Amino acid sequence: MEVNVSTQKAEKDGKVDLATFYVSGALCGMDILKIQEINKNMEITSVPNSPDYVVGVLNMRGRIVTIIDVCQKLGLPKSDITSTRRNIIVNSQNEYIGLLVDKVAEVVPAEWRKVTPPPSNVRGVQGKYFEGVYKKENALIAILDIEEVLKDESVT
Amino acid sequence: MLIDAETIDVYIQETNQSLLDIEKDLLTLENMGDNIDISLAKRIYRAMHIIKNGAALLSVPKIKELSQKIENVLGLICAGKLVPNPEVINILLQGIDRLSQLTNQIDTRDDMDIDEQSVLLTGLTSAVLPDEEKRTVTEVRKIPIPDSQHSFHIAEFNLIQGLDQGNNIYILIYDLIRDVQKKNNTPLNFVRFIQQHGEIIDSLIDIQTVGTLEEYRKAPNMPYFVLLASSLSQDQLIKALNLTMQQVHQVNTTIADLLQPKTELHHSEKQPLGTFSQRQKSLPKRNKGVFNSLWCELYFALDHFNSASSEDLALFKARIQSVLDGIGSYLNQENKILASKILWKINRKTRDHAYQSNIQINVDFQCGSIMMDKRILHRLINPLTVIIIKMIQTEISTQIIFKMIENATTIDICLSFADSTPLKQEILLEIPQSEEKQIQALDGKIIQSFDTHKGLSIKITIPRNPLIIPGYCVEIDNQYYLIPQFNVIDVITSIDQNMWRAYGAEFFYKAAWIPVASLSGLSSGRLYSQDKPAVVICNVGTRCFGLPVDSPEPFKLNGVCHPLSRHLEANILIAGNCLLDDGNIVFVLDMGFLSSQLQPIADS
Repeated sequence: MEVNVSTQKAEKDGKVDLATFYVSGALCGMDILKIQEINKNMEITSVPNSPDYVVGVLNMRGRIVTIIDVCQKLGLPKSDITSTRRNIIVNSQNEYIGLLVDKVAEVVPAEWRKVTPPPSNVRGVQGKYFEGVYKKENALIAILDIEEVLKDESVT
Repeated sequence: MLIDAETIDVYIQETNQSLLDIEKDLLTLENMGDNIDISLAKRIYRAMHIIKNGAALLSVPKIKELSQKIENVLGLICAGKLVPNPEVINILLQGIDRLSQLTNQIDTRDDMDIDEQSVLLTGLTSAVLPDEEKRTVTEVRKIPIPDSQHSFHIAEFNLIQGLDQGNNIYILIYDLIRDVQKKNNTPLNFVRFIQQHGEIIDSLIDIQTVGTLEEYRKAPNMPYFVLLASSLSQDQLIKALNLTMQQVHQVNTTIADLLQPKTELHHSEKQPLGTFSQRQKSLPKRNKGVFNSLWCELYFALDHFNSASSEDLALFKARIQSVLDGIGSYLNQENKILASKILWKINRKTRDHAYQSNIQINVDFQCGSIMMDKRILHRLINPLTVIIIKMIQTEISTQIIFKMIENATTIDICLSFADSTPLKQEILLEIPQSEEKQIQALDGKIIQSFDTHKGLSIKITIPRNPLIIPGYCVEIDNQYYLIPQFNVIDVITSIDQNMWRAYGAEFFYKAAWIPVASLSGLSSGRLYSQDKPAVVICNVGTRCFGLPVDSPEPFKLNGVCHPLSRHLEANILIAGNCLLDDGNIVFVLDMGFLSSQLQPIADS
């Protein structure tokens, strides 16, 4: 356990490229290395009787990927359906999961040491979903804690 | 080999051409189904007969033996005793493929075995015969040749077939030097000439009589004996073949029993495939005993489960688990088959394409003894055929190596070119999406790789033991669902409004009202639907209920089940998901949950 923490600390001492995206108007980011791919495939099959935040499932080249609506998961107001929506596919606990976001923005090079701890509430979203906040020239990027966002709360 | 090189070359050329024609004709024959064109079947038979007799003349025993076995099967087809269905044609094509290999290596090597093809062909021949006649396929009759230390050794079956063609069996004695060479005839034409007057059952050259080179120079002779079935009398035959009395001997004593009025050598037309259908019929019977034993075990465990002490509970649980595992393993075994037995069809399909495109395709199957689920194998045929044809279209080579490798959890099918000409330019195939989706529906993956030395290779990885759920695929409110087959007892597609009551909560089936499961209620908010074109009648435990569906004709699907994502594990309605061949996602319904939601039936 200690090894993991120290490894994580060492990683977070260095630089990181943040892939940024908008979720219900909020600019969020995540380590670009955690992303498997970004696609705009919206042929999502809804799953009956599933939690609200599960948009459905997607056939991604033979792999059935569950798509999570990040807006819903974070408790943000639902945004309009636009052509800029994208699925950010991540590998979490050996499972591919898609994060449905409103728009993908630029890649921002950042340094972990300049990332500040998240407040208890970021634009109305619980602080537990964020690893920290990175200040860009004229904007704040809320860095998502992907494992926390993808935690299945119905199980706990 | 006693014949000169020129004759051998002619034989190789003629045989190769004949084999190509035979292949083509067999495919045509297969497409005819039960309405066989007998003249076409006979043409194939004659062509194979010439190949066999040529091989006998050239003293190439393996070609002779294999072509004899193919000829036997073809004879049964000609006689209407065997239907040339895909399974039969596959076995014949396997034999022809090996014949082609043997012919092309006629004077270079002799280590190519024909065991597998012989077993399959003999099995097929024997399968058609009634039990009391099966022995004729393997029982060999010795027919001594007059004034010679040699004998013919012929399977009784071939003698009987010969007698079907002509009432008399003769031994003809020729000298190839005197009767063929000095008359400027070719050996193969000579064989054809004899065949015009009867059916050559067997022939052999007396090698020992040729003696030493010195003796041969003094008095050259090369005795050649022919066992011929003919409807001609001895005198007529002597005249027709321009022979002397000493050259024609009628065979009577050694086959006297076969000349007796014989019982019909045949089998019920309703059972044209003998052991194939018999084997299939016997399977459930054989397994019934196994399942009964497992069921007794399960019943015993369940009966004692409720009254078991806490100490025994674990024991009973383990017992139930082991029974369930036993049932699972038997069900899996039932579907396991040698991969080569089904994947051979790819060869046939690629050849079919080759004929149409006037190109050559040769696939070297290296499947070993890998066993796979036949439901998966059948679905692999089309995409693999398309990929092979795509490979050929690159024009790198027409020779493809098809190699299967068994790993701990997967089976790899590796496709590569046989002649690895170094390629400077990277080539990757454009695999059609439809075929790619078919592989993906099996939870398989296609990986292409390119190496400047090895060239292009394609690896298709399939799970070794996928979870396959046979069931009916239905559409309900624009979503596909798989209803496990064992839960389905009927599908009602002809529905009128009188079959509904209680606002669609009950459905009339077999003189009784049964409850209706409301899947639409879960997705659309409407409690019950009376406007669906079909109702699937399901059974869970002792409960029977109807499930209205939008598909007018639900289709059967062997779904390869993917586990649910952790975000859907808590979903009590679905138990898993699968992919259709077109890429659509299908949810496997948890029928236990549906049955638990049923409303009690109102009194009539």
